[in-house]
Amino acid sequence: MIGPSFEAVLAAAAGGDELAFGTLWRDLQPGLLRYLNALAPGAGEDLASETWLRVVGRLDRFSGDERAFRAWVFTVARHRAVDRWRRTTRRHDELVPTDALVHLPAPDDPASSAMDAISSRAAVALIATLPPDQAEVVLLRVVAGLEVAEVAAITGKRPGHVRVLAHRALRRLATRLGEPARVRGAV
Amino acid sequence: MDAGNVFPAEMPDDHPQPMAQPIVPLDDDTAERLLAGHLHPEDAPPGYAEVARLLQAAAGPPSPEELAGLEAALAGFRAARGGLGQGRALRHGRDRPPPRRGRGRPPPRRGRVSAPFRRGGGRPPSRPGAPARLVALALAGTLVAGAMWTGGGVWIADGALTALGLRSPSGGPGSGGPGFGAPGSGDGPGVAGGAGRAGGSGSLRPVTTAVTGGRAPGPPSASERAAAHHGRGATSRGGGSAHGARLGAHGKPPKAKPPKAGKAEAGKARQGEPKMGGPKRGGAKTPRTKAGGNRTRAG
Repeated sequence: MIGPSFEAVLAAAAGGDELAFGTLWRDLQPGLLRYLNALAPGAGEDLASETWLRVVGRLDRFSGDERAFRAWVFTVARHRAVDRWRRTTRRHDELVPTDALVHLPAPDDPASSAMDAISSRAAVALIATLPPDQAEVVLLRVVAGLEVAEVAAITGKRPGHVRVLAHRALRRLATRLGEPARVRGAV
Repeated sequence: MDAGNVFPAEMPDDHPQPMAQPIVPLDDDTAERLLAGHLHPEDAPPGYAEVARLLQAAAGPPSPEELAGLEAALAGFRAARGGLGQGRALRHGRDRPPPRRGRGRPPPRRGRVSAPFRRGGGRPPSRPGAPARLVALALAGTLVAGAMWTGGGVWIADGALTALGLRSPSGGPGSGGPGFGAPGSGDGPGVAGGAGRAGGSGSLRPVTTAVTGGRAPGPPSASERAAAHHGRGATSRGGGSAHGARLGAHGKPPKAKPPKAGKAEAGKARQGEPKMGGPKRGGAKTPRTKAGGNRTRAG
């Protein structure tokens, strides 16, 4: 989050200031890549470029605070991903890379106790194994840092449904993260 | 106590198995804190410590490879901003209203405030064949002006206007109204002189002084109008260019008749010779011409 200086940064970026745009880009690009890589694995870079191109084209028309700006950028990114998904006419769950799960350490791994042992990439890959609606809700809440109402507006769901999806996703993740240890403990 | 002397079930469990941790349902507040990354894994409910760790990792600081595309992004930003300016220019050029044709209006100047208000609405739809009519009208106007100057080509101008279905202000062969300064009348001195002079040449050469007789062309007198009607038949039969030649050939001026007789005769000639008077006018069937005829009969 940029903070109180967001309005000035946004105005400068809308005026063509590259430094201000770089600030916006550095703040949003990592989350954008993680979100888009989960929605469309292997196409996150392209979709992020398309998203920024669209955002830059309409930057001077945007009005709102930083949260609204983040919600708008992720809305544009989601539209880009949906368009790409429609073009490729693939099923969403076929786009999830399962090989990325290899890098996720087991919960009983001694290295797993260290927080930095789990890379953000592996964590996003594990979240992406959830059902698509649950994975999207969790990514928008965690990676994009959006609230329930904003996620509901982006995904076109009711806030109550977003909460239910988040609860189910957390429970499923907890179950999934406990399964390997259970198996190893049985062995 | 040795471990070998006891049953395994009595051994203390120093290493609790993960499956021993039940996954309890989360309340909303805990779930919100978990999703927001505000819940430390040590403080997480049983079974959610790894979830908290996973979510914190997913929202972790950016890696260098995620920020590696900054230069490319800035280059794209520059290109997009440049493209935006160009796009605006093109869009403005496209939105500019097309140059108007015809109607004698000046083309819109660039940068006028009123230009956007013309976009889309307010412009009357163009009629097919309108440019040709306008050109013909302009040509007829030129001929009328020249005829007023020369005093001779008004009949041709009348013919052109008649062909367009318009009524000329000077009357003429097909108009049914009086024409002033018409050649062939031979009524006034200047006109007669002009007729004789034109008869020699048989052309529409401008002879201003002779035609007008040294006076400026003005509204005709009643006798001139009557004479013009009288000479209409000869002009129609002989064509527009015979105005002075025929008179010059005969060498005598037409008979001067009183205005009433001339009007009546003109009305008779109009009724009895519907095909005379130059080219057919579509306007002869129009209500305006009928009304004019009624006025003539009434008069």
